[in-house]
Amino acid sequence: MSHLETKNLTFTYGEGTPFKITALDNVNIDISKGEFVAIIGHTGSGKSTLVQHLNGLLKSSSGEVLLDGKNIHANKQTLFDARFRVGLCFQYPEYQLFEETVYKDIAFGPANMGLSKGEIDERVRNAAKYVGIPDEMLSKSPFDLSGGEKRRVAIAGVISMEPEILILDEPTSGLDPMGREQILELIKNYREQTGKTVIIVSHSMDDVARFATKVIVMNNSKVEMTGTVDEVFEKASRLREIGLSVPQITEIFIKLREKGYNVSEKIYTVEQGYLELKKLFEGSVTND
Amino acid sequence: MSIIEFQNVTFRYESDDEGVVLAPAVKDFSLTINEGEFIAILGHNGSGKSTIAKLSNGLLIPEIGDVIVNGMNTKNEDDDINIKQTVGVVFQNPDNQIVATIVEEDVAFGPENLGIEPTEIRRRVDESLKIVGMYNYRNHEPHKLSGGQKQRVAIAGIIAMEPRCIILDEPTAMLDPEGRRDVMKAIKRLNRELGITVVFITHYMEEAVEADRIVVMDDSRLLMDGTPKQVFANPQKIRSIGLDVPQTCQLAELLKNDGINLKNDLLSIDELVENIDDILKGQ
Ligand SMILES: Nc1ncnc2c1ncn2[C@@H]1O[C@H](COP(=O)(O)OP(=O)(O)OP(=O)(O)O)[C@@H](O)[C@H]1O
Ligand SMILES: Nc1ncnc2c1ncn2[C@@H]1O[C@H](COP(=O)(O)OP(=O)(O)OP(=O)(O)O)[C@@H](O)[C@H]1O
Ligand SMILES: [Mg+2]
Ligand SMILES: [Mg+2]
Repeated sequence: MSHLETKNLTFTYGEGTPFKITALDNVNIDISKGEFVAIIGHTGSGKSTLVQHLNGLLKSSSGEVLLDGKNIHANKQTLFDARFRVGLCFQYPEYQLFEETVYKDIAFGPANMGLSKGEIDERVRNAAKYVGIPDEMLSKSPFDLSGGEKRRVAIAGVISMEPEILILDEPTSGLDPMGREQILELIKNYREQTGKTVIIVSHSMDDVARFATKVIVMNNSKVEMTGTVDEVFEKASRLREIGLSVPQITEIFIKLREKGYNVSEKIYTVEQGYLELKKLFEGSVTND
Repeated sequence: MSIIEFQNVTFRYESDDEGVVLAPAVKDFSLTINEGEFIAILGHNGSGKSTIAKLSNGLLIPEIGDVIVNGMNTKNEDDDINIKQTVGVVFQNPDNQIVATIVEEDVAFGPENLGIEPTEIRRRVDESLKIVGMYNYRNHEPHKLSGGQKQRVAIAGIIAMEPRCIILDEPTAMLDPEGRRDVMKAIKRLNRELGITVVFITHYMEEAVEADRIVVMDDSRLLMDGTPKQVFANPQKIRSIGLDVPQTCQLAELLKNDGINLKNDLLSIDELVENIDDILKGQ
């Protein structure tokens, strides 16, 4: 059975004004428990609007969001449940940080879940450690941090709630390479160790290809395609037409094929690229 | 000739809590940026990059040391307008920089504040929108544009002030792959065709290799300064400070360890593909 589903979701900003924009146009997605879903699409394609519907933050007048088969807007209780079961980390951390200190910001979610002081403290410290926030930063104001530090705090705030469905909108944007690696590993482990579901929105084709079990491609407010990493990145020219690309490493193999070498194009990571090129150099793959 | 000079600069932010003294965000920092250069600044989160950007045109003033912009000290308030006209800064989130409801009005805002006369403003607005490839959108509403388009409008707004140096703080962080290519193309054009000095801050190593010179920050200090080939020649050092080398270098590194005779500094996909092709053809 599907875990999280949207049915004919359509959403318009500024309805009834001259500035109205249809940000979601009949969107149907279907996510099973334990999947690692990546949503990609050009800027303005509707990704953030879509994920804000998944925990009931935005409500469309047409279509529905089903969590374990139940409409999340059925009543107050279902909506309340959705807010806690589906944890969303915003694209711009500024929209999420509001407490006096970093500690209080990370503690906000767990505190609202009615946990004991000891449990809250443990969750805050664990989450901070995971995202690479040192202890001395916990007493700082979240507004006095660098861009990448703010993002780490925002991610810790959602992780500390241990949601059943973890949604992160552009989690690695603005992070340094090591931070990017840390956060992606963290998300991967969160899913593998708990069997929980993860959804990320990302402009990094490299990250998507490495981690996703399912890719949803948005284009002009619609779902353009859904599939595995192989199925999606096989369509390199279509992806380029809609403002996207293939991972950097894949680009190398597309170019080698254009030069007549019989290499696979389903190569997304440095490690995979290394093994494929080793084969090529050892002569087990030749162009004649 | 130098356009910005950091002379032993130390800066610390003030704490909200009285009596608490924060560690410096930039420490003992010296750097000379020459007219016409195209520089990338790299460094881990919190290493001081954005602080450097804000010190460059007097938004922040050093606690110790001086920042000299084209001969003017940023500490001298009388030169403030002149300095801001010489060095323009584009911040990360373009939404925060949009001030008007029509694209061309937004771009005109900066020159208007400098007191430029209307016919000249008209000329500058048209020209800067053409440079970033947004002229056809001049009558659009900025808030309806995509992230990449907004970012380019923000860049046009700075170009219209005709600064001699433009600093861009993570201009591609929120962009899709096409938007990133477009912004990189636009800023290269500013540098190569108009001779404007460009400094851009990024976390993407494959963008940094496009610059002529890379400056690497680590814990508030300058750690490395050199060409992309020099900076990425030492992967261990780069990794030890939370950064990485471009993926093409990572791949070449693994193959070289296996005894495959690839060149040392393959920074772009095309260079790597060419080199692989040459070796295989020679076999
Ligand atoms: N609060 C809002 N009011 C009006 N229009 C909005 C609002 N938020 C988004 N939009 C518009 O809705 C469309 C979809 O925006 P959305 O933020 O969902 O895109 P996105 O795919 O997340 O883009 P990005 O990659 O730039 O984050 C865009 O045209 C955008 O301009
Ligand atoms: N307004 C502020 N008040 C106090 N401390 C600050 C403030 N802004 C930044 N800092 C601190 O100064 C240091 C340098 O911050 P800066 O924003 O220059 O880093 P950065 O290199 O741009 O990082 P990022 O890659 O995350 O954007 C960090 O330790 C940060 O926490
Ligand atoms: Mg978005
Ligand atoms: Mg910064």
